[in-house]
Amino acid sequence: MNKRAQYFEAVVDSIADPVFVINRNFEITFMNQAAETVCGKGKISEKKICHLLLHGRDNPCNCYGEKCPAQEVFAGSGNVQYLNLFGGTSLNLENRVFEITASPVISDNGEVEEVVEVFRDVSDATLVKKLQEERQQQQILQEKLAAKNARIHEVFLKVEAAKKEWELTMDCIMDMVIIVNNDDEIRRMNSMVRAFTGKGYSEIIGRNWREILCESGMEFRKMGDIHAGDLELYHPSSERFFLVRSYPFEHEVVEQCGAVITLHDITAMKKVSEDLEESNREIETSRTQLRSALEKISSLISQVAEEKGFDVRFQNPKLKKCWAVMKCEKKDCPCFGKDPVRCWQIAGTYCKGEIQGRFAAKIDNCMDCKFYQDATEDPIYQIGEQFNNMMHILESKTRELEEAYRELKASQATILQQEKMASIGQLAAGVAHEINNPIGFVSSNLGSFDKYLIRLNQFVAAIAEIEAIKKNEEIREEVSGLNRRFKVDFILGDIKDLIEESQEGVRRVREIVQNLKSFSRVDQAESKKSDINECIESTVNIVWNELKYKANLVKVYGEIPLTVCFPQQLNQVFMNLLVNAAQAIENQGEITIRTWHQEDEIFIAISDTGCGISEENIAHLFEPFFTTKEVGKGTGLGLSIAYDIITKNHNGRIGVESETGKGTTFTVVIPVREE
Amino acid sequence: MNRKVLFVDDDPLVLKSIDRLVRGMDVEVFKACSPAEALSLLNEMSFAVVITDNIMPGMSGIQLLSRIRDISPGTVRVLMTARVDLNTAMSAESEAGISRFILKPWDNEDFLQVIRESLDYYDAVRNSPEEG
Repeated sequence: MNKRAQYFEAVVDSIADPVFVINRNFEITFMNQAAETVCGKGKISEKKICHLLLHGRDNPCNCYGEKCPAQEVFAGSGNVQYLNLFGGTSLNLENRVFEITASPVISDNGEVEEVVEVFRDVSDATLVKKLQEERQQQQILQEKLAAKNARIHEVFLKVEAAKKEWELTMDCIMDMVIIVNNDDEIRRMNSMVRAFTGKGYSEIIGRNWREILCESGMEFRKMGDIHAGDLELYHPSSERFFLVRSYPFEHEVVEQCGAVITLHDITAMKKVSEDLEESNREIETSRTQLRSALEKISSLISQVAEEKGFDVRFQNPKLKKCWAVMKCEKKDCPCFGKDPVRCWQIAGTYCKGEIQGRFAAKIDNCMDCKFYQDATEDPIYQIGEQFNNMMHILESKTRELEEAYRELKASQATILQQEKMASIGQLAAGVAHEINNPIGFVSSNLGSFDKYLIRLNQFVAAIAEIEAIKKNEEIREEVSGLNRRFKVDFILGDIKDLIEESQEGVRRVREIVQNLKSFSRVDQAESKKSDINECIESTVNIVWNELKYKANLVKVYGEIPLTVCFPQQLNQVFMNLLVNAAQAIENQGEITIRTWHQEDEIFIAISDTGCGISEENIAHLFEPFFTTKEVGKGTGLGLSIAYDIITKNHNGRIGVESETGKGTTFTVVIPVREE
Repeated sequence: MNRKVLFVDDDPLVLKSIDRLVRGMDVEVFKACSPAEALSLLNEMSFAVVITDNIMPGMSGIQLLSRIRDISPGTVRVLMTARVDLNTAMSAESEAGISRFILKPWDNEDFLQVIRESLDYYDAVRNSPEEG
């Protein structure tokens, strides 16, 4: 074996070319004589690492751009042949060109265990030169490559920056942006897409964009032309709408086709437009309502104009039986149980926008009632409300006007009556004077006549007593004949009555004139302490002519205190009541005057047994110009003046009780006034 | 000497009835139908009593009596009136010094009594010692 080894060693040593055996650690495990010559004897023991020994380098050759055949072979390349130019080493190989043939040494298990490198010196002048040129060119090439590398690196950095910029731009867009290829596969997307889908970049890339969106719960709502922007998506869980638009592109250089797809969130816009539609609808509804409300109101107004009534009202359909619809239990509410009416209006309390009066106490019930709120908040019904309020105000104003007119008429009537009485009073004063003169002399003459009569009687008696006549039968007969013929005895007897009766007549006239004066003396209108019974008595005297043929007068005067009053005015009242009583009696009846005193009030009751007053007429009894009497018999003023005098001037009251066919009793009550 | 009494009234029938009434009295009766007539009579003679109506044309009774007071202060002045209110009474008192009234229509006895009392008053004043 050893011999054989020595033999092979001798063989190998005899080869003129240097031979090296190198293991996997690049350690030189064997070199022949020629190799030793090239490297220098004994060198192997110092530097047994191949690249250290042959090239003076710390690492294998291919780290420096030169090819290392051993490495190639270890890498499994089989036999390798290289030309190698050595230079710059300590070895005696300067500018020598070797053709290195490297062959693997296969171990028993088939692995490359070692490499055998055979160096053949192929150096000659041209070869060396060629190698040198090649090397120079290589160096230039390498420099160029390095420069190009640097430039490419620079461009790459720019591209990188541009890409970053672009990506940032994409991510800044609030829309979802997807770039797809022709097969609808996602090539890129911005962060909005990742945020929306909740998927990472790698999960999305390469997927069909429609699928990805559907997986995230997106629904295709409105299928339309994606390029025209008609495609609409809806995301139910977030209630968002998206408008999808595709911008196709074609890249000529990279020969790549595809599209940029954007998803724009249109939820807010859609909401706005929906709201707009809704409000448009509402406006249209309101307009229709307004038109019909206006039509209603104008028809109500024309109704008012035609009928001149103020009871027309704008009906509020929203208030229809609110108590029923709301199942309201508030029974003290003015609406409760009522027909569909506007309760506060009916209650007359919702006036000029203010809630007043009876309704104000109940308004709390309605404040949280939807019907009430609708009725007061809805502009249509506010218009109606205004109309109704207007009508209400008009109505009450008209009522006030009517009332004022009636009062005016009444006071006018009172004034008229008073003026009439005043002029009657003045007339009476003048007439009284004129009448008093004749009464004066008639009454005086009657007195004188009475005295004369005494003389006349004495004379007649004296003649009868004349002796000559008494004794002369013939003369006596003649005298008594004359006496009989001229009814002297009767006349003398009757004259007495005649005078007395005439005097009674004069007395009555005097009294009537007196009463007329006192009654009519309206200028004496100051109040004074009076006896009501006396007032009544003087009134009875005046109206006696009216009463005496109709009624039996019963006077029941009670004990009543004096009171401060307007006696002339009270006379008027009693006269009116007495005349009315007499007129109520058709044929013959009874009039009763009763006075009494109770607490601090004086009562005067005047009753008749006449026809009575019907119930409907009693209501109008004290209204001016109300009369049931035939034309010319009554002015319709008497009782209204009486009412005024008693209630206003005496703080009293006047009442009436009547039964048709049985009679009527008027009762005047006036408070006793000491001063 | 009979005392003279003058009656003044614009109504002759009143004067006539008064004439009848006072016929039995111990007086000389004069009648005037107007204040003017009364004044002319007063210029001719002096009267114990003048009884005049108040309301007459031309001059009221109060005015007449007021004049008479100036002409003949001793004459007793009596006013006949249909109506005696406070104003009439006050002006009669202050303007004409009248304190006696006869109401119209009069009562005959009252009327005669007023004349009798007036005559008594007239006599009493005349017979009393002169004053001043």
